[in-house]
Amino acid sequence: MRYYFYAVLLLATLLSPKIAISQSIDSGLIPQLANEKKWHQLLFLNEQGEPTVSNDGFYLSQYQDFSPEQELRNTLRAFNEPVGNNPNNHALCKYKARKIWLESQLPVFNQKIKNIKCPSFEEFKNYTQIDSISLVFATGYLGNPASYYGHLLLKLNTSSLGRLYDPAINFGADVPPDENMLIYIIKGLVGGYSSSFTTQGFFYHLQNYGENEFRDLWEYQLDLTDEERIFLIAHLWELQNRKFTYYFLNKNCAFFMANALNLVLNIPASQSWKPWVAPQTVVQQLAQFQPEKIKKRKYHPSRQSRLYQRYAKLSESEIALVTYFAENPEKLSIEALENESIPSQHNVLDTLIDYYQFLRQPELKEQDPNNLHYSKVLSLRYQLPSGNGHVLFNSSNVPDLGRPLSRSSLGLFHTESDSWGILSIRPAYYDPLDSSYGHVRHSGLSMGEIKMRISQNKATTIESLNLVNILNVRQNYTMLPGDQSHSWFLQVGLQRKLNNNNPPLAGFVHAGYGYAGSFIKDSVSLAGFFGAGFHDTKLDSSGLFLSTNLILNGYLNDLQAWNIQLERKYGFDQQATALKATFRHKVNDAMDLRFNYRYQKEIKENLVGVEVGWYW
Amino acid sequence: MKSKMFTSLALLAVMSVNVHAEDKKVGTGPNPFSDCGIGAALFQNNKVLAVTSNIIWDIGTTAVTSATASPETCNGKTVTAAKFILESYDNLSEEAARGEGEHLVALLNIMEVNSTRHMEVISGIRSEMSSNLASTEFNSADKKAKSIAFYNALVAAI
Repeated sequence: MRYYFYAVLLLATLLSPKIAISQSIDSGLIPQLANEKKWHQLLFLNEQGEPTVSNDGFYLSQYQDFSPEQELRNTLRAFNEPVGNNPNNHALCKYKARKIWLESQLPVFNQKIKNIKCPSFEEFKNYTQIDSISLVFATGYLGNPASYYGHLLLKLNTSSLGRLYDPAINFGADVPPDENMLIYIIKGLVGGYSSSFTTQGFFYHLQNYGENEFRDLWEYQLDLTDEERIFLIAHLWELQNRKFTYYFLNKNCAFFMANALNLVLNIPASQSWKPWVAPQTVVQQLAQFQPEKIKKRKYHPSRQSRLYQRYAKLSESEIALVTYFAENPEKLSIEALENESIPSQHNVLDTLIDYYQFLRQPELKEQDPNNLHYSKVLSLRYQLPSGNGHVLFNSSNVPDLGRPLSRSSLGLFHTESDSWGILSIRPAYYDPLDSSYGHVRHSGLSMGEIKMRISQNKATTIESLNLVNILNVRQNYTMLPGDQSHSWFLQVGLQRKLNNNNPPLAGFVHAGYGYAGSFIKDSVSLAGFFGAGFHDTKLDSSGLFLSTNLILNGYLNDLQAWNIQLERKYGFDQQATALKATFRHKVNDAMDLRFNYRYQKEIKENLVGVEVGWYW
Repeated sequence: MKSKMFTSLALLAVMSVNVHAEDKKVGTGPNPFSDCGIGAALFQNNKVLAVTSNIIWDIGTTAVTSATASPETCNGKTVTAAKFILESYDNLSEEAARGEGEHLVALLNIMEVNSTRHMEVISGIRSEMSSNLASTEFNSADKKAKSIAFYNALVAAI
């Protein structure tokens, strides 16, 4: 009887590891582990220790009585549950990263835990055969508000499938198709969308960003240990298809990617006090704080960059041929090229292929003649012997370099009748004078920029508030037909009318559309716009105006830049003509000086000013 | 009308290459475009694909889910290759014209072609696509039909 009793006890113990583990773990250890930063990161808790994953299934505790300690106890309990028919549903398969970390923290747990097969996770791991992980930065795109500040991906590199088929982990808002742009912006700002991590082939993103939106991609291959890599992959597996609330400014791809990476790296962007997190900040902080963790940096040029770089490598005679055929596509034939060497023929046709890909709109089919020209050039390329032009694509526009993204400045301004100070704060991102690494040259993009005026009597008033200020200047680097670069600008905010005495702060919106060209190796650009807008304190027609703008922008060298703008507004009852000139001298990555001049024709006012700016 | 005629011809070509491919070790089994539903779904849909990737992914998923012929093969490398071609047709076509490129390498790796045979297979694709591009009808066809033709050239070259 006694032997029977012991046998039952032994069997019960073996069948119930829950009892074995809970008995083995020091009761004081669990609260201690629950306070560990790593445990909070694994649970994706916010700084207050609250859960941020919004859909059911990720947390094993109820939301109303959630605590990191309770979740830890529930996790240990769930790990000890018997394995059912589908092992994929068992906690040991769902929470691979939690398991790895608890094994490292609890030697007893490590000895007792079951080893079960997890087919879905194995498929994820085997499918990818991941031997390294890369952080990928897609440069900004001014065609979509959500992409103004660039985008981040994680690429899981494999050795067997070829780099382009490697899976990429993306994070984004779950936006319904054909969402109205205004609704999209508002809901993105106020948390109206859920968001998630998803996995797709890297080629999908390369196509979308590089070929459709002409955005360069920069890939930073991380130098992780085997343990770090496996831990991060397990964490990414846990996060697949979990739902989070999306906020465009600070709970965006940059925040969540930095949060996930922080499991094995140190990227402070996700713990910043700032109410915004930009993707470029993440790559800058990776390079700044852990440069030893960057194994290799790879550049994936967009179609536009490939065209421009290929064009830049052409000889003079090849440029002449490309220009001739672009202007006279009907003249292009193998016979027309036969006097050229085979490499020259390759260069000419490859440049024309990129040129027509840059211009053409495939959905228009024959209605867009560039589709026909593209097919013809490609067909001719097949008739030549094999061989690549071997253009070594490269770019010095490296996004991990450059200044911090936010700028503040203090300035003194003077007219014949008055002097005052200006304190300005620009949360992000750049203007034509300080567009830097990873930005669009000669263009500008800022949001939420506020200028405070400090008068001589020490009264402080708001001088202006720019909610949105975008200048999209595209350069026709090749000067080929069709590469004229449609450009535009949009300004929304509060401003004072310049030609009134003591003018009130008034809402305004101003948009323009035009063309731009760049010269002298892209160091100078000239853009002209026709525009319209509304600027008044009263919502009546007297605030409406038409406008013309001419903007000349140039970079003398890496340190100095200049900008001249001539603006004329035609209102119902008055006109406003202003000439503005600014010279910028970069002191270092964190500081600049600006010298301003403005002439307001109608009131014959000359204004001069000097500003000291610092970046943070 | 011309486009529809070409589409029909392309489908017939798909079927014939599929039969031809049954004699080969690599690329055997159902043609993902015709037999696994990807092509059928695309043609039924008859939308201009341009390069909008989401459509392809959605259709790809739907097609594989609704496959009637040999599901295990329809989930295999040929479907993966077909989706890759649909997404990257222009790059693949341009790289085939040049005789090399990383899209081509990725595609051949998906199809498990030994690297020692890459040049030979690329040469075969190049030859077939060169003939296709000489045809006016091919050039006026839509991207789906061109992708099918590229897949056929790939299978034939393997």
